[in-house]
Amino acid sequence: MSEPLPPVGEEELNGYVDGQLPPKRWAAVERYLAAHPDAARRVATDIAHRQALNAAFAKYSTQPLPPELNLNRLVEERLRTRSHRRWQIAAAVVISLGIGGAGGWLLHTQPTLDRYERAMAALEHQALASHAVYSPDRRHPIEVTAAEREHLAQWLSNRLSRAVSPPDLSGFGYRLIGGRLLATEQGNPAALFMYEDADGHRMSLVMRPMAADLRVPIAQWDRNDVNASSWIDKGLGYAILGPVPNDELVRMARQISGTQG
Amino acid sequence: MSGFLASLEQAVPALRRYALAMLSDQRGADDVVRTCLARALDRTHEPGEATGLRVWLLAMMYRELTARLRPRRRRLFSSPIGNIVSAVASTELSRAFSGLPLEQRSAVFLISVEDLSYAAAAEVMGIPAVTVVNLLKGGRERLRQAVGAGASGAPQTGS
Repeated sequence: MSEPLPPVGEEELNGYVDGQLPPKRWAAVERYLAAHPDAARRVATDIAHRQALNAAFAKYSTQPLPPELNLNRLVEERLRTRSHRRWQIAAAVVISLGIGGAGGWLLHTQPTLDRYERAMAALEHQALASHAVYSPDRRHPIEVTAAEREHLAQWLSNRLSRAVSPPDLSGFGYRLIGGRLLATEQGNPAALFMYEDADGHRMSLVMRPMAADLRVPIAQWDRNDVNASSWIDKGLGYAILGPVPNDELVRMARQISGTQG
Repeated sequence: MSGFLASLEQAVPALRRYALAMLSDQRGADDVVRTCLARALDRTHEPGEATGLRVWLLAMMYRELTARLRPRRRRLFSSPIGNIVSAVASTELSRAFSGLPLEQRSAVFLISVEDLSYAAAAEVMGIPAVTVVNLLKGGRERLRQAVGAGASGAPQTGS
């Protein structure tokens, strides 16, 4: 008790103001302040300033954020403008924020990000490969033509064991030319619908069965001169791709995701 | 990973406060915050424990702020900074705070308002903790002088 304590330094006065003083030095600093009114006045002023600055900034803690700082919106914008890592972000949003929870994106058990990545990568590969092989084929791009639309939908629905049908994209200037069965690398059936505009540009819409618990909102990407949008909903992965401007593609994707189920 | 965006969202008000403390206008401040959030989103793969996230974001913010402020630093410091005052609060203290040099203002803000430890503030600013404490001391001294001088209407005569 009679041991002399080390003298109090200027740094310790700051530590006292900020509550960052080692507990064993509190008593020494308080004794020092009691003996030095000038230092005590400075410390009291610093504490008052600290509190006043806190109060001045406090309103920014509760104030609603401006729309451009809304994270959901920012993520959406990133998805629209970036071509890589878009579904990691999308999936992260689904997992952590439960975006569109009321709309059904959020599930009781949330799949791992890893599963989202694998599912979206598989969808992407299948869509790119199928589009690359079939869309340039002038004579046999499809197996069943649009003239047999009912049969096409029935056949593919039977093979995929779920209701699939070619959406109407005539509003975008693309008419259905027909569809075909695809094989996934796991040996399961998937479907492709092909569309063409007046100038002969072709778009592919790929539908590939997925695990029922996966949901990914519309994500945009591109490879070379092919733009694409893909998403997963209700056990089905969708990818729409072709030489179409991105914003147009997203409008198509929105229409399709709204009309399919 | 799964809580990354939720944690990011929680940190937005702190980022905004920091940007407002350092910049002269609200729009500019929100623009810096937006830039930093976009940058943070691009790095979703980086491991960031919830505890370290705020410091990581604030450090990103400090680099962005200094990058924007340094080229016109002289002008910034020699001109009256009226906008900041209105952005924060129209008190004598806020005026004095807004007039602090960049580094001092940052140190005072991070420690007083965000309640960071000296070590964390040092990490944000990329400088040693000793330097942070010196900046803090210098900043507080200036605040005391400016506010005291204003209150008494006369410069202090010292000890």
